[in-house]
Amino acid sequence: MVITGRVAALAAIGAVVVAAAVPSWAGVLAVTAVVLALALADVALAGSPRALRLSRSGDRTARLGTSAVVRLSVHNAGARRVRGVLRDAWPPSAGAVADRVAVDVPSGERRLVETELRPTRRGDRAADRVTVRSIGPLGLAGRQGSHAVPWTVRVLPPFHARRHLPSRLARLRELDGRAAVRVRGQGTEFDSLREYVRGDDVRSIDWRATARHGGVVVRTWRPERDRHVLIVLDTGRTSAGRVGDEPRLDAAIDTALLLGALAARAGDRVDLLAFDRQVRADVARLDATDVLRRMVGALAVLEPELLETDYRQLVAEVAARARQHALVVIVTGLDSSAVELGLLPVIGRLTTRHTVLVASVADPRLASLAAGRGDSDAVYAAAAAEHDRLARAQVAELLTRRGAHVVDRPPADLPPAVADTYLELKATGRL
Amino acid sequence: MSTATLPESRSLDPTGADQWRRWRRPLATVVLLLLVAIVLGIVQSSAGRGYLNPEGVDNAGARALSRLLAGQGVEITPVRTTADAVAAAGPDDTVLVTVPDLLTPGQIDRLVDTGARLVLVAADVRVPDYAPGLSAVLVDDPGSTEPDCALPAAQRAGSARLGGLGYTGDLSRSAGAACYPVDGEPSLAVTATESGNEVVLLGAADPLTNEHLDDDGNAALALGLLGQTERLVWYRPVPEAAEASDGGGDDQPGAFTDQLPGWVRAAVWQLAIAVALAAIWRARRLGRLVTEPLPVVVRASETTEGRARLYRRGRSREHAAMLLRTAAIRRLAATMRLPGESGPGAVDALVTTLAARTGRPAAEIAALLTGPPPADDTALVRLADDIDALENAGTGSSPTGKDPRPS
Repeated sequence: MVITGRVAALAAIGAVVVAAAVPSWAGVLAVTAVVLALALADVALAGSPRALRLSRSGDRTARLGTSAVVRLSVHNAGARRVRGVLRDAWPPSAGAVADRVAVDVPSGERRLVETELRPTRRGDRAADRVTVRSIGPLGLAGRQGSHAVPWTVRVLPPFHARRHLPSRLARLRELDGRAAVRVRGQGTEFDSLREYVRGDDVRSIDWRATARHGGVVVRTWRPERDRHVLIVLDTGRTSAGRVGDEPRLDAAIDTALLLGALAARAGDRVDLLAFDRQVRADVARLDATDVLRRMVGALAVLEPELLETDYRQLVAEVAARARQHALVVIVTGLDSSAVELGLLPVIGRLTTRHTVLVASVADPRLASLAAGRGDSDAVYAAAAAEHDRLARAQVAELLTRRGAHVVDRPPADLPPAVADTYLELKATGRL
Repeated sequence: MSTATLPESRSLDPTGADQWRRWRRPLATVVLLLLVAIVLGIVQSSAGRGYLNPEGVDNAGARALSRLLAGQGVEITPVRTTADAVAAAGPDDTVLVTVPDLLTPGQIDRLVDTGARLVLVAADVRVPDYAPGLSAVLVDDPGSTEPDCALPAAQRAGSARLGGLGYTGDLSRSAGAACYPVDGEPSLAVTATESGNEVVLLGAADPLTNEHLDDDGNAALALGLLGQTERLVWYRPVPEAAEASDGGGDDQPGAFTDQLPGWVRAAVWQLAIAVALAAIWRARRLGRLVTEPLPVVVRASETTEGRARLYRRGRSREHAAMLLRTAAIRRLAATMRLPGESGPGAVDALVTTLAARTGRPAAEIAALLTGPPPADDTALVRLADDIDALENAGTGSSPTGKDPRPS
């Protein structure tokens, strides 16, 4: 049962009646009794929210930064008209634009309520209750009831690094021999024979075929294909730290998406693994056709865990997935203590069998702190920042010395830098 | 963006049975508490407490005395207000005032005007208002006192527990007795008001209380003083303000609310009901609050800033200077393609190269890069600026923006 402001207004008007006509306790009682009786009659006449049948339809997914629309069908199976307010409750980060709607559903009819969501965070957003407040014909009082109408909208990562994809694909085509420039190098394999045209590198002439054929025949080359790329996201505690406005993990996801899309397009086999002390996401054998859809779906619900990553277990997981030579890309944060104690002792076991690329999300704030001058506070902060930068550089050096490639860049630069390193490795045949 | 529909919704409203199941335990608890309170109240109310309460069973009460008086055939009327006392008392009655000093002169006048015999217990500052020409003085409290007078009641009782207050002045009106003298002043005085009714002034309450009733001749004295008339009005006054609303004399202004016309009170109550309804209207929420787990918000640079604060608090200039120098040496060595950081020989080579490139004395550069730690914070700030200048001169570019990245 609910009452509206009109009941209070009516009681206030009653004060005038009491003062003018019956200034006594009996008068107060009588006026209040009349007000309450009217309110109760209104409650009895209001349509029951319990009799409503609700169902949902609409969007199941939304990319972060875009909006989704979820429709709620309200069917009144009760005998009386339901008129009032409906609240479709969503968690705050689902960003419901307007969650209160006036509804008026006569008995036996159906109305459609649309809720627009503008999510502010990645992940699954589940609808909470739908609450209906049905007010009686006098507008004095009514009934209120809630329904559970489950629905989940998966908010996908925004993939800001998407804009770097076309230029990297163009460079991939240059490598691929489909474009005019052909590069013959270490990382290429024999493709086919064809007749010589002017401009071809004379070193690529196949003399034996030329002798057999009569005309001048050249060999064509293409970059290696069907290599194995395994992207490993570290979701441990270093991924929770905020760099700029978002956690490190979001930059890592962008990096993984760009690299995954590029490698799948290049004809390589792409696997994805998210790990801290257990496997958080595991996507295998991504096709070029649906690589982004599957990766985005798996990465959307990933959250940083406040755990120390178990690198020993991680290496075991990698070994189980990559039996042959592969490119293992570990996206993490180069925090000296975590890496020194965890990754350094075991990285050797990976570099002996695989090409290892350690991609790290750097914090631009370190550089700005290190540039601080002017007073003693700023200089002490600069010294502390230099300490951390030296430690990071040292760790990176140690990793490099053990055979890993290290890319340490701020969040915005990391995805293209990793993609470039991948292309470079591919061009030089080190995949 | 797939589209799908789910099965029908589920109503979450509790039914009547659910409500009963949810509320029956709290309801039972409340009923039980109420029952206990009622039982305790009944048990407590039969046993009164309080100073000279005729139903009081504690030490200061007077239930024993009131029972004794009732046994003697005296009809006791307990009252708490002047109006009741005046209404109950007639010229042939006795009025016992347990706290006479609590009454205002106006109330005393109304009480005296009844013509009743007054017995005042431990009257002090108000004595002249009851019996003009008489006043109270503080005397010793010896415990047991001899009567030493001709008053029949005192004669019969013998020694009694009196003292504390003595009465001095003109006792010549009416019978005028002065008994139980302490320090030369009587602590039991019988005199009369201006209109002639008898006033008995009792210096202490002890002879009447449960605690001391059976000591000495206390009981006999009390019975003798209070049992003289058939009706006894037992007046235990309450403070003046609490009695104000029963429309006292000129010196008792009524409360503010008494001055308002009657309809205002009813209208105010009705408005209060309206406000309560408005509160209920605003308080009801449209569905519950929706909560969600929030992500951890820790800046990645948090540890760096914490370390900076530690350096600052510890004034570790030596450490800070060493870090700034090491970083600068690393960067300079990287730009000049020299082997950085390892060994003093490498630094010497760097100093020589820098001196050649910038034209500054090698000793000055060596002091900057490997010299003693700065003496105070000002020197540290200056050292940082000097290192910046050296890097600028050595590389021809902004120094701190550069980063010796290995990849």
